Amino acid sequence: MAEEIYRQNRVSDVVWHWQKEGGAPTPSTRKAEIIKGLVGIVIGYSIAAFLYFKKGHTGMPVFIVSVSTIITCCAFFIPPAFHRIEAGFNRLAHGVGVALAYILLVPLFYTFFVCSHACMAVMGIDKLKLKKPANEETFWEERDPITDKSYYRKQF
Amino acid sequence: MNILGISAFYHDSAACLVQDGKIVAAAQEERFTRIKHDENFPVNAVRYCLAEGGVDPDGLDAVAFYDKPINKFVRILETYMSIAPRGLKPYMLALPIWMKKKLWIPLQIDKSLELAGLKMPDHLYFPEHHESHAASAFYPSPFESAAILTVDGVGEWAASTIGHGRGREMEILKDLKFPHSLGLLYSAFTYFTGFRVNSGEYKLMGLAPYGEEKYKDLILDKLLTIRDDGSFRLNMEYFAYLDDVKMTNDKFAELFGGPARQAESEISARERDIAKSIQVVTEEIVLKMANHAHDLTGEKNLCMAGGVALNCVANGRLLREGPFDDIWIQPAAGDAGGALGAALTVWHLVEEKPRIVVPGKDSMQGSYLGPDFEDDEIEAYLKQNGYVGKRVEDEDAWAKEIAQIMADEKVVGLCQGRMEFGPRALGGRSIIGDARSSKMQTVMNLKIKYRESFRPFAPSCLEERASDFFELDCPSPYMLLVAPVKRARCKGIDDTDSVPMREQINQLRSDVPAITHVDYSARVQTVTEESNRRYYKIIRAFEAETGYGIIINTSFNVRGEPIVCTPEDGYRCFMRTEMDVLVLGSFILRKEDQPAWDQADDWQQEFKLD
Ligand SMILES: [Fe+2]
Repeated sequence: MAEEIYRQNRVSDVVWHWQKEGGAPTPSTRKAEIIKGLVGIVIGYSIAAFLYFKKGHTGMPVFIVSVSTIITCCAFFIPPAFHRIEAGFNRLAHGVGVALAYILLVPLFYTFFVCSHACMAVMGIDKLKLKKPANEETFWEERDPITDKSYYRKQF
Repeated sequence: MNILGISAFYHDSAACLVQDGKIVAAAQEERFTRIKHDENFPVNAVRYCLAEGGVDPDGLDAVAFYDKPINKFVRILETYMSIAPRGLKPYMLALPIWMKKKLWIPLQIDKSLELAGLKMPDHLYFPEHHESHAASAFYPSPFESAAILTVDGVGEWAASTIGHGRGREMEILKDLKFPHSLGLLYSAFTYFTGFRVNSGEYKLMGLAPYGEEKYKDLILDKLLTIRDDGSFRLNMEYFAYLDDVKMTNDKFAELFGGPARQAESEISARERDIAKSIQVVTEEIVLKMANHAHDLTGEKNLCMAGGVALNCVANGRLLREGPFDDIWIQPAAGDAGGALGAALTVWHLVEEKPRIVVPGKDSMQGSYLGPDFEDDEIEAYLKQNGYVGKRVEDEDAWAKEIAQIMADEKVVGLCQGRMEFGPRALGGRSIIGDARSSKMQTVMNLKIKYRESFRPFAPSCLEERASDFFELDCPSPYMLLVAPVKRARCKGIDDTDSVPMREQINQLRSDVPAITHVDYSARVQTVTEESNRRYYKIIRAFEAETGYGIIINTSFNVRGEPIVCTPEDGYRCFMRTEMDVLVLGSFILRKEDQPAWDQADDWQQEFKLD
């Protein structure tokens, strides 16, 4: 009966999930799901209330309340269903994100980066040293010693 | 004091725990997620390291991330400023990821610590990328003082650095900046010869001995300008990694007589000759850089890290022809090792803690820094699943049985002790076999690893027997040195000038043919009882059985799969391949005793080929 009473040690428990089919969710993952469910219902009910009381709609608020109630129930009681719903929302968010990225980043590239490039060209700045090397004896660059320990606290 | 080191978001993310200066645990994320070279934030590796160190929820004192993300981001922005309007494609790929993840490192660390049930410490550090590499090379080394050379793709701006380490002090003296990078040059050729960048570089190195250095002059003439001190500039007109999502452009293809080789297609003489040529150029640059590091520091020892330090052919040449008496290379020389270097930087440079050096002995503990699994747990797992294994408690009897199995030309999967940190399997998670066998290279390549038949295997050799087999007069515990096989053992070596090298592939080249590469060299691992007692005992038992204190050692995985971590990973790989025997801790499992394997197991679908 050794296999039934075997208890994994702390290391094995973290890296090898053979005793938990598919790797049981950690308590913090579960907590996060419940929080997401609660946030979902608050947002859903708020939108429904706004549509009902301020705009006078009836059909849409009922629909939103129903959907957000179902999602929250799934978060609490049917985690696999909640995962599917969440994955769907993630895909939607990803699509919106990609579209937004193009809308924002493409104009930025053709304005800021192209203009910066033109300025650098006019000022003769060759940051990447792309020009054919002249007669430099070496390409090694000297480094200043690090004297201030606060340097290590900075991300730059 | 508990310091957690983290590397992430480029390739091979990893975590490491340093407790009061001692390296307690280190692992790459890929081993847990089973995604090769996983670059995502190493949540699982962090959890493992903290569990291994028994760190309490509020017991973490500092976290060190292996580079300065803002500096890296600035480099990327300045690159686009330099090349716009070219470069829209890589810009659109890079910027959203930076916005979403890479600029919020403290947040990512906080999240992963929360998952591990730990509180975020007050102290968060960001050493520079190459400083982390340099620290990973120098601090664990057996040298009181040494020159330090780091060479990789790119960090923030630096792509190669020369440094100097003395006691607990370490300083970077000089650097070569992006895009003029030896790592990226080698990766460009990796791409052009049809292998995967950041993964297939070692294949290019393995292919080199089959070719001739026909393109060396062309490379030196057109692609780069080198100075005597090893510094160089690339001619970026031939490379595409600044403005595209590939490494080389049409001009490069024109220079080498046609487009890049398609992955998985036939390897032609051109690819073999290109591989040889870029390998020789790389070796010469590394030698020149090392000479310059020697001149600058006056040291007799050298420490190395960065992806290029995994080029063991260059390392072997550096040891034989270079100015240094001794060299030490960080076994996790790639970015995974940056996690370790970052943590050690905090301990020695920020906390100013002294460094204790034991001459001749590094502090990497054989690089066995990953998880281990108890025999009782393996037994419970086997019973639960109906798998059949024999427990052999006595270590000598265990080693003898494994040695006998190998002597019968059977292939053994070995999963015992702590998992290795770094890309090499060193007897913890290895596939082992008889180095004397003439059929072993083909059997292992085609039936077990499912990889290209030209790929050579490496030997594990008793340290005291290394000089009987190789022209090697120093230990090579991490399989990072290539040495010539003893001439007296070689067969047909006098014919090498008359027979084209590629025709020698199937020739019997020595009395240990399975580990003798086509150029009569081998990538050696020397094993001592102190570094890995059980593994040492297997090789010693094999010597007692056959007279040869040497075996084949290759990583325990199939092509494209990360090296196995848990006994479950090991069993799955064992059943998917034509391996004969599996060793899980003290258990020996024979294929014929196992229940039918009915799991859907198309590994070629599961793992992306490298
Ligand atoms: Fe690196």
